[in-house]
Amino acid sequence: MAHFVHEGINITGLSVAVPKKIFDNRKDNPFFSEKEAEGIIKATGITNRRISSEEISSSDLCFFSADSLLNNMRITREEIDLLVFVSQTPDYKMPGSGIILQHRLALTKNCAVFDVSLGCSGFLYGLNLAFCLLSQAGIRKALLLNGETKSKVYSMKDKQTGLLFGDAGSACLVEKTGEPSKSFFSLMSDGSRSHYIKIPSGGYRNPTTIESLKEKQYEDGSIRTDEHGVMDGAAVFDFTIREVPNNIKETMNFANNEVSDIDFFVLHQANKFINNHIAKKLGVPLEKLPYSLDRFGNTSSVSIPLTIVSEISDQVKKKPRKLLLSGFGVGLSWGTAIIETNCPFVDEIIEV
Amino acid sequence: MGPVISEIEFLVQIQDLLEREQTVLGEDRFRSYEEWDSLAYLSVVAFIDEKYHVIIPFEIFRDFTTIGDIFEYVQNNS
Repeated sequence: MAHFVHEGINITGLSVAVPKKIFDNRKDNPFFSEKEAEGIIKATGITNRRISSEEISSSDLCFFSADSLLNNMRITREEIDLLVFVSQTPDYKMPGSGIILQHRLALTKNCAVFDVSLGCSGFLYGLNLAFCLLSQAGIRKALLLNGETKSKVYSMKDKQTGLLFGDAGSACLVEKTGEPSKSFFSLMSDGSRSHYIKIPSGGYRNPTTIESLKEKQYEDGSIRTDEHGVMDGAAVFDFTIREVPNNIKETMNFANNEVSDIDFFVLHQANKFINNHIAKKLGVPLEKLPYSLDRFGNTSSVSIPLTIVSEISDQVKKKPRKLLLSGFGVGLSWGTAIIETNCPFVDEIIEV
Repeated sequence: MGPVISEIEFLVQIQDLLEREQTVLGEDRFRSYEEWDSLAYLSVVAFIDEKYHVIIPFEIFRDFTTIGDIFEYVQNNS
């Protein structure tokens, strides 16, 4: 079982950056009829999204959030011993974007840096990884950066995905606190369903060709190339309702917690109806279920930190809170964590 | 197999769920319903999960054409 327990390590600061540009799902996509757009908004809850301009990449969104976080918390760059950059929309295939950010953020060379290629489960995996490495005496402070520009991955003309994804970047400062609070993580994976969400070409299995760059039309009217992301919505829905409630229950058992012990359930923001169904199955009252997807769309691994910052920032800053976080999606990869925050610094949302 | 499920009760529940004015019948081809959209699909699968503790696999649902197909699956698998 990929179960982890950490003690005396916590998130002490959180910052999120989003693009300024608001995309209105009702008006801004000419490839969807009014009826089609309303259908998606009804089924998902996603009304608006933030879309980055051509010049802004995931690493930029993470740069602005991390830079602001370190300045506002008065953390000297020299104190950062670890930087983990989680993204599936990195600047380049090579080198990793985390290392480029090491330089942009003026961190020292005595800093371990690497990228992690995960999507919707990426905050859970990244946070657990940072917590694990912080148990080492040599790692004083760590920056966990999650950044995605998934709006650039999917075709605007894809009926299943053209209105879903938004862009964002987050920075978490993670450090040893010496406090007795514990956190619990349970991480899962299933490669047998890896075809549910993918970009078919452009990697090294199916390299880019003239064919892979050609637009193709599909039965449902979608138009995309093989270098665009493709998602089987019904399959992903099936996976989510099948696996996520069980993973959450199992994590609560492992942590010896009931629903009543948890202050907020911050679930990955893909679909409001599905999240409400998960909550119902677990007996979670809706007031404990914050949402950001109506304004920001599905921002992949950033959706969890984004929702904390946009929805429950005041509550989290005011007093210690027990949060259950659950991320699930591409891979397929999923995980749940129960963490006890102790009044971390939380930035205002930065618009880039 | 669980307790016998009343087909009439099931049809009425589906009608309420889809907010359909016309009576829902077992032989209805639900994909031609005006009310049938992505949310209708999610709602039906979620409702059946909640009420009958059966998750209809997406690859099986794809082949259903009538309301009766859905009912039969639930009856045989709850």
